[in-house]
Amino acid sequence: MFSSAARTIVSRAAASAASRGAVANRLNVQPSMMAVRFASTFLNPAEVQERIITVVKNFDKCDPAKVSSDSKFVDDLGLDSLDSVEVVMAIEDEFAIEIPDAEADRIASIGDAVEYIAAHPMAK
Amino acid sequence: MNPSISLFRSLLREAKKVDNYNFRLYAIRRVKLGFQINRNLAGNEADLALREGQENLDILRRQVVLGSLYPSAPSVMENAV
Repeated sequence: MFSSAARTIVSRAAASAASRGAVANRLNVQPSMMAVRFASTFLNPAEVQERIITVVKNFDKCDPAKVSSDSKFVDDLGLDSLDSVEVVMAIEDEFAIEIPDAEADRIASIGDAVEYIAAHPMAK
Repeated sequence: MNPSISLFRSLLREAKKVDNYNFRLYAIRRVKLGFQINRNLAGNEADLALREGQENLDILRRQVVLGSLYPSAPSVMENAV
C-alpha cells in the first residue's frame, strides 16, 4: 500500500513534468530560455565601441588608419552627408536595429553612435 | 531635417528589402549613383530631382511587394559558406 502511494506520487510528478514539456514544445523554446528571452539587455559600451570601430573601418570610403573612438564622420574621416547616412545604416545592420530618422540625423561621430547603441535595449 | 537626406535613407532602406539578389544590389547601387549624379543641383532643378526620387521610391515600394509575392531562388552569392 505504501509503495503504491509512492508510485502514484512519482507518476503524478512525471505527468506534470511532461505537460510542462508540452507547453515548452508548443512555444518552441526550452524552459530555461523563457526567462532569458524577455530580459532587456544593454550591451557593454566597450564592446559596442569596438564593434562600431570595426564597422567604420570596413566602410570602403574611409581610411582605416584615421578611425579612432572620437572620430567625427564628416570632419575627421572626410565623409560627406550621404556617406554618413550609409555608415549609420551599416551600424544598424551590425546591431540588428532600425534607428528612426530624427535620431539617425543626430549621430555624427563614433562617440554619438556608441552612446546611442549602448542605451538601446534591443541592440544585439 | 534635410529632405534629400531623408529621401536617400528611405530609398536605401527600401532597396535593401528587394527579394532578388541581383535586383537588390542594382537598386542599392542605383540609389547611390543617382545621388552622386545630382549632388550639385540647386533651386528648381533640385526640387525636380527630389520629386523624381520620390516617384522612384514609390516604384521601388511596389517592386518590393511584387518581388515578395514571387520570390526567386537564393543566389549562390547569398549562400556564403
